[in-house]
Amino acid sequence: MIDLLQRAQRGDSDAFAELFEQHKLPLWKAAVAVLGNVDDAADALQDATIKAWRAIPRFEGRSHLATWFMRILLHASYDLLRKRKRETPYAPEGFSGEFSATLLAFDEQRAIVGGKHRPDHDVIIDVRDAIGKLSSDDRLLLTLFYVNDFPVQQVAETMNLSEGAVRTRLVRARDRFKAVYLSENEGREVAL
Amino acid sequence: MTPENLNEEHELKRAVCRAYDVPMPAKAQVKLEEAYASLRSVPQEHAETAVPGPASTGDRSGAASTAERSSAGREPVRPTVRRRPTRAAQGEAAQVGKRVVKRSAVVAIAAALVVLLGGTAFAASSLLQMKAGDVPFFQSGSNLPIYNSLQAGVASLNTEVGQSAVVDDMTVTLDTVSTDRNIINLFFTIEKEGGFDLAAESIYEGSNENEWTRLQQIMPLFSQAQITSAGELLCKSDVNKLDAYREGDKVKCLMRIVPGVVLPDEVGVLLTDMVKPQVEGGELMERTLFEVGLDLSTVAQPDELGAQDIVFQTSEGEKTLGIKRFTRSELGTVFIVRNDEVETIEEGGRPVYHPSDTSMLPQLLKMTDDQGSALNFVNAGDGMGYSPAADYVMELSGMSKDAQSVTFTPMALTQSAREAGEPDAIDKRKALNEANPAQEVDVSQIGAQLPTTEYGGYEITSWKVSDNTVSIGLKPYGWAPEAFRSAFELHSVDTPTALKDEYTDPETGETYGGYHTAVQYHKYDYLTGEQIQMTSYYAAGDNELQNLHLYSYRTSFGHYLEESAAAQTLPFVART
Repeated sequence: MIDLLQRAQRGDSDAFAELFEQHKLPLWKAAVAVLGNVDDAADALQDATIKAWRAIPRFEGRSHLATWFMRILLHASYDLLRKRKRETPYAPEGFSGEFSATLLAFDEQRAIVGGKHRPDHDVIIDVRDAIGKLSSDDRLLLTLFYVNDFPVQQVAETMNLSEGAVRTRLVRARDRFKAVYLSENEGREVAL
Repeated sequence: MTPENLNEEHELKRAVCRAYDVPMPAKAQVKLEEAYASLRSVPQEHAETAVPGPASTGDRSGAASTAERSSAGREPVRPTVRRRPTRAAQGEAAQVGKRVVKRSAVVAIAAALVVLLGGTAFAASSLLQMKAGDVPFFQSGSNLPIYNSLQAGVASLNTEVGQSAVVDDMTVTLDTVSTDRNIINLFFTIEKEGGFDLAAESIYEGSNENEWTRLQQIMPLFSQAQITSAGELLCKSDVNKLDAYREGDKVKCLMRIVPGVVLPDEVGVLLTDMVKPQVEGGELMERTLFEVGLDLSTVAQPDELGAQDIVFQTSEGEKTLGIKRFTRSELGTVFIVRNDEVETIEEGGRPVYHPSDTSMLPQLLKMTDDQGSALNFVNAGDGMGYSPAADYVMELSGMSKDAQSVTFTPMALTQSAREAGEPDAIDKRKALNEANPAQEVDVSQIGAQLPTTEYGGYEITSWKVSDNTVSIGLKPYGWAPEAFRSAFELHSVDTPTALKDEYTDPETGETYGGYHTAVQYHKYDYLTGEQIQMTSYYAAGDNELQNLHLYSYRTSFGHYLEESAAAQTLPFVART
């Protein structure tokens, strides 16, 4: 990876593409977390790619490359979020509309291919709906920590927070998620 | 999942992961690959090697912007930051002594590098002088017609160079340089033994984009040009690709540089690129390709408005425009504005950049000269050649040769637009957007006007389908807010045939189908501001494209208010 990094810093776009490919999935998930729909996430990822390419000669290794890429992606995502807020009514209900439709399409497709309705299908939707009602910062935090498996230190670097603040926010984000989830599933008990 | 096991960390993680582990769809991968494919034409922002050079003209705007880029470049955890405002940087530096020391050291090192990199002081006898004469690039008539208006200016100020360099098995010859104090145009001829294989330059396997698009990929990609004088670096500026065409076995091309400084009497232009290592693992090195010394002592100084801060009394209070340079010359009009965007740190620790409430943004200015011409922004090259970490360096079109002054009129956001900009104002945004539904136009109706605001829009000047490419000419009229660092766009209402591509996720082995439609370029007439939107399709042919007349575009009615009472007029003064 160091060789790839050096080559990318010296202007080798193939090396950069290879390097970025290695990091794209966590970046993708974070973009979806912040933006709430796959089309905007794709745009943000594309924008982040260009920005990272332009800036990589100045990467000095003072943070993990993954963290550095993530920060660029988050800048791009939040820029796009602000732009979208100016342009169009963004999804006030979190992951409503297109995003849910996209995810449902994936799940429905799998259900059909599998020939049966998966028992956890509703749970996934419920959890997703609950996450969608959180703030983008909470969504991002949960994604970085749980989905991308970033250690607290890396989450702190990525979000410009102290490790203590990350832990505190994680507790609060968990609590908010539980509250939303439980309020939506009051009286229901489902198996995961 | 029950309320009880929701409290178990591993259950929560499992639930979040399963719900949130969104696979990356093929269309996102396609966009990513498009970004990868474009990287060759996107300049990188290298660490600073420039220091403020005492230009003989005394103009230090470019030097200042370089220093600002340098400070931004010291922030590895904020790689995409916009320019850090001077006040903030000063305050921060005062508080963080270590950083001050480090930045000083960087400047010292940079100074040493400049001596090494830009140390060539040309002997007076080797300097090339501008003279009148035809430039071969325009003689065949194969250039983009939109650049024909450059011909007269170029013909009055140019010099033959005749230097050659080998780049990627191609012999690149710098035929001619045409420059005044404001602008540098470069004309090249590229040759390759055995000729060029344009089929190999297709963007995707099986794609059929036009020849012009493929030639863009053949043109050499230079690093930022180093502009020097008396052995000192004045500034570094992007070398923007404008045009290329084939002439027999050769390729002719045109590039353009907007230096950050007004050029002094003696100038060196250094063009470099990055050399790939010949041995495995070797580091890429910067290589000098062309080094030209120019004597501009006989070239007239540009007219200028003068570096100054203008304070506008707007309905939103006082707003200041920091003009660092506004110069008009034979080859173009250059407008450099201080970047006053400020950085704030949100509660969550996230840095956010936004315009200061007291700064006047260039895109919210309507500019007209005293001859009644509207001045419009023209984007450099492919529209991407600017640094977000420095001053706004812009070119303007439409300036009358006889203009004696320029009037700047602030365009304020309406109350509705301001309110709709608030994060929670969903209904207001919705109302504003509903008042601006997508408009449709038949692009075959030459002369049709496409108003985008109450204050102006575009007129269709041409529509041509050829070589799988739709070219639409658009002439701005009045004031167009979307002309600043972006392009007004028309989109076909019907989707043309796309090129199908397949992508296999190496992690899951799943294969997705992706679709590629077209690559689009916007090029500008630097004198009139007319732009041409060229959309080159990968799979759709001319017959199909000929039948697609209906295009859509967006408008911004109800967004802006002209504040005529706050307008200010500045006279041109002769630069000495």
